[in-house]
Amino acid sequence: MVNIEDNEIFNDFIEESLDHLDGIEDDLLSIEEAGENFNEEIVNKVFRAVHTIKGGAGFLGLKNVEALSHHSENVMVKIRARELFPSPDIVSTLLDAMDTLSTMIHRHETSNEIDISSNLAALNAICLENAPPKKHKPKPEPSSLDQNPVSEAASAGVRAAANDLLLTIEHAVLDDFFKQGSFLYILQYTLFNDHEAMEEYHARIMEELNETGEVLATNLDAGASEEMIQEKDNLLVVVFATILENELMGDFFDIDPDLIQPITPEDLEQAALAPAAAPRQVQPVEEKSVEEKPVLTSAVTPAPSPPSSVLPATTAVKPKESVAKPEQKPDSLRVNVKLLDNLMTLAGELVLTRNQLIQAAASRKVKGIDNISQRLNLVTSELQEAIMSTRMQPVGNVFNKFKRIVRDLSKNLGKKIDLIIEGEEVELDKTIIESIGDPLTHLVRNSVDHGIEMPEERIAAKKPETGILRITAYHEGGQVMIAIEDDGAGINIGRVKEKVLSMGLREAAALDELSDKEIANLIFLPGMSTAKEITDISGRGVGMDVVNTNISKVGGTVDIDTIPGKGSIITIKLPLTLAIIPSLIVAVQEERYAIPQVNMVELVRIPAAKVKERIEKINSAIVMRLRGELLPLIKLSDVLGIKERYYASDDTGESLPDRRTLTEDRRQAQSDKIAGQTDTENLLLDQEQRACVDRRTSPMSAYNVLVVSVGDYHYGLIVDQVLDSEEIVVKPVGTHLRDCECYAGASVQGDGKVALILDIIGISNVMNLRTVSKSVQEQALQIAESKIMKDTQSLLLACNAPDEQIAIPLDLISRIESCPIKEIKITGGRKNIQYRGGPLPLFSINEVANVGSPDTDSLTCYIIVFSISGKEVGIIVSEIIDIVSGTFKIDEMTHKQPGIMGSAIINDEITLLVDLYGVVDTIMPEWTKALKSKVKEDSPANILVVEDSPFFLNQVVSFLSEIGYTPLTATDGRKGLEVLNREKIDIVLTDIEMPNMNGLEMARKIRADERFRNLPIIAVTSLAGDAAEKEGLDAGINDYLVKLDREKIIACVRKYLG
Amino acid sequence: MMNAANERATVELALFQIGEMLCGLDTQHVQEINHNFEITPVHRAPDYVRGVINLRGEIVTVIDLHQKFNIPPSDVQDDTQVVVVRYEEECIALLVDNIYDVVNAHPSDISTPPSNVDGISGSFISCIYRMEKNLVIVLDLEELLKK
Repeated sequence: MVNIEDNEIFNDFIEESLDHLDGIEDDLLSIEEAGENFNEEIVNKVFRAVHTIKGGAGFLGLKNVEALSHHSENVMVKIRARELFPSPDIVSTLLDAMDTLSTMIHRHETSNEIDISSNLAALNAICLENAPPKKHKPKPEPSSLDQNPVSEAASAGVRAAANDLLLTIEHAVLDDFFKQGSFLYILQYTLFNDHEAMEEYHARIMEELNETGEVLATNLDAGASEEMIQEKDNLLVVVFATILENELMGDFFDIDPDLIQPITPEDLEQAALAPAAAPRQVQPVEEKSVEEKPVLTSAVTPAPSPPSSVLPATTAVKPKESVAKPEQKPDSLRVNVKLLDNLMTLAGELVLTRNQLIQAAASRKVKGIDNISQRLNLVTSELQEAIMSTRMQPVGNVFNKFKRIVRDLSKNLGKKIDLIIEGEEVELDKTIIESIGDPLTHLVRNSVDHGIEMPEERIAAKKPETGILRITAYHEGGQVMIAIEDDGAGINIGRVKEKVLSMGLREAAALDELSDKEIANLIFLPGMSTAKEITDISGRGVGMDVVNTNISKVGGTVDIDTIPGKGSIITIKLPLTLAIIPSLIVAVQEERYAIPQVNMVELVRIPAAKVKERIEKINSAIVMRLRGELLPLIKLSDVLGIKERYYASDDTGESLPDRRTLTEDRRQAQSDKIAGQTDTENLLLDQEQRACVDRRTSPMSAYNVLVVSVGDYHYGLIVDQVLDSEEIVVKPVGTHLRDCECYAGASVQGDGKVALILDIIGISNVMNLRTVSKSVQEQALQIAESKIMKDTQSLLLACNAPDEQIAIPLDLISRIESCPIKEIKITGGRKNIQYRGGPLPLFSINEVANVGSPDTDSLTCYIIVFSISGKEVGIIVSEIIDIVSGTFKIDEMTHKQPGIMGSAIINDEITLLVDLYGVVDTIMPEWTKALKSKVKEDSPANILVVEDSPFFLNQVVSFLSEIGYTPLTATDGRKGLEVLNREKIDIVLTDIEMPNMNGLEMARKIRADERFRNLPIIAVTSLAGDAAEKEGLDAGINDYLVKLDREKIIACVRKYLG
Repeated sequence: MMNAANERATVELALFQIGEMLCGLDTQHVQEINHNFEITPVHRAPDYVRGVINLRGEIVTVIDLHQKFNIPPSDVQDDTQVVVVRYEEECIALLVDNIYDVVNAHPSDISTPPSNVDGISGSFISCIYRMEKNLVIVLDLEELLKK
């Protein structure tokens, strides 16, 4: 045994051996998979790897390791020679042996005490059972190659050639090989082959050799032509360095053992002394050298060679891939030499740039600084990228071990599972790779254990017998996604629910509101894992919260999607790297915070004028309408409890105390007032709001909303300023701050100040936003309902003549255009305007009604566009004032005239309600005639109109009678039902909100009555939100229409009446 | 506990003022004494955390001892003075009002702490050092900084 003083040799050996073992596992599995048609090359690879371990172990005195690898080697030899069929059992035995080897290598100090007898016995049994007792290794299979015995003369020639060749190589180089434990050989090939052209054969030999060692010199270079080969008497002589011992050479190469000639250091000396190369002198030494070999082996086979100089046999297969080898020891990392060179170059660049900067700074040259800073920027980013890439490792390092896990587990469980691994090449930061191994293993085991069913269950469920487990890694949106997908039974939602209830983790009521997906994700709750019986749930149980915690620790998220009976997908989102992250710098009250870009969805700026429209208050929560969705909002200042208000003045950049009040607060106050005033139905805009108008429109009150994503939901964070997008270096915060959930760390800004990094998930937890998000959605429904309850009407306030306010129902308006008055042309006595390539007919209210005419001085006017009889028409007004919603007491007497439905007092002013239909009908009766006449011919049907507001009732009745119907009326649902029982009714038009019995209730009652099952019910209401509409439809209402939309109401009535 | 150690040799104490009190800290815990930092406030942090500072690239938590001792914070001053200590592999800055001297305290001048001094819980006090004119409250760093 060699006395080892140098720990480094040991470390190198361990690291390399573990590398080999990693590869072996993979290879053995692929051999098993291939069965009879196994790839010989892979077997060789395994053999070489085991052999290397054996060599190292022998040298280091690890007897057990040596013995076990030796026995494994024997089995491999037999497999290679096809004397053994690599059955799953044999592969299992080998895998077990490899596991033991790995254990022994890990604990090399005590490896000689580890009991390996069972492994040895198993391996021996395999050999004895299947193999003929012949101890000698089988000759290589009869090759197609014609290996003519070399004649004496030729042999002499070969030796001469070989010696010449040896001399071309520097002595030191050869010496190095000996020191690294390699053996040198001179190989002779006769380049004569029936099946291949000589040059091809030559190339093939070279390739084979290079896979196993290194060709140092040859008398014929690769790519030699046929003529050149013939010139050398078809004789190829190669000086070859490899770690293979002489006895093994024959097994690996298509060559007669006699034609392999080992070289010893002594040979080299002799050759050097006798350049004349007398063959006789070489011969005896050779024989001697064979005997010397064992001595040489133990003496000179030192620590495996460093990877950068000579690659050991196994890695030689793909020498270029030495970059990101899986590493076992956390404190070392293999880096591609090229990458290192690149880093050196960049470091050089950095130094140069620094020098330039120092010079420029010393000479106060401002001009050059720009260039230098640009260069510095470039070099730094490249350097950063290069350094980061040294930390990047393929996720395959983790994935590969799953092959074994899945194989072993499925074998134990008696399941059939195909493992498909995709995206192994996706790279992740080293620290992330290290920390996801365990959680992933857990998930994979769960999928195999609980996800995929037993073969018979699968067949019963009409699924293929073999389950599929797919592990995929891919890039998405700057993050790495890892999906673990199985086509198993999925998660039993019901049982997860039971479990959650029995553990008291959620209230039953709360559970009912959750979607299946949300329930499936509950298995990540802590506590769900502590109970053992959770594994009985088809879902994954034990330690799922640990999985979640570990993934969150590296900034990732886990999400489960499951379809009962079809399978589950677990998706893990991971950041590429942790150390430097792109982020957005925002400010609240002069304090800067960083928000990681990965959490960002979008930035929304709500101008002050829109704040009122876009931001609402539901109970205590502020929400924003964003593309139809309600997004819960929180102010960062509220989250952090920042009190004083300052804002940066646009002019001076100074901080000034902000006197703005929050518009949505005021709005809330106002709507409370509306609620309180419904008795008088009189809306007063409070004076304060009017006084505030100017300030409200100042850019200061605009909202900057950062829409951020927390897994499956979003929320908005309101900040004062959005400053910049920066790459920040993440630094940990002290232990005293670890408990503040709001921060993910801190970073130092360019000016040396500290910016805290916000933890978006933490904030949502602290503010309990998940529940807010849910309750907001629920309340949105309720509000939509309550709006119906209040029967509010949205009106556009405009004025035609100064001091004469008019109102138009907002729901009827398609859009509003502003246009210069001079573009309005009068053609054929009718006003119109060129619009989108065609004329848009225009009407003025003063054409039909006795109202004031527009101010002639103004240059622009507004056109309120709506459609009638499928035509777009516009009404000209001179100014748009506002949009108001509320309940208005409408007086249909005082101002009633063509084009005016009535009047109301809005914002303290008498406001005329414009009848758009009336305006057009008065001026262009022929446009509406077609509609009327057609209906008149129909047999009069009985229509019931149920409406509590006399104004709307009259409106509907009047236009229905205009087209020939005589509707019956009722003022609430109860009365409506009475009428229904009394008269034969063909269609019901009803308001929703009414006293005594509302429209929905009435509809339900009607539907409950057998007689009226098919009676069409049309809701005519002021606000048709999706939620309200859905509820209406559920109640049995056929159609949902907007009040005062005469055209649609008529069309709808016609539709139902046939 | 201290007595045994003090019998052997003198203890080097860094003296500083918190409110009206003269406090001391064994210099073996002290990494440096520094001043003029811009403290970034950390909201939602425990009361006694004044904020964080950037100490040569390291983010260091600043602990306000006034809060720990339940004494009113001193007036905001332009020049913040901190005693940076090492505690369990972490740098922590203690905000102090004034920094004095470093003295060698002889064991004979050191006595065990009373149960409380001027309202400061005795648990924060490691011992009392008697100088010629003043009493120095020698702080127990571990008690002070443990969460």
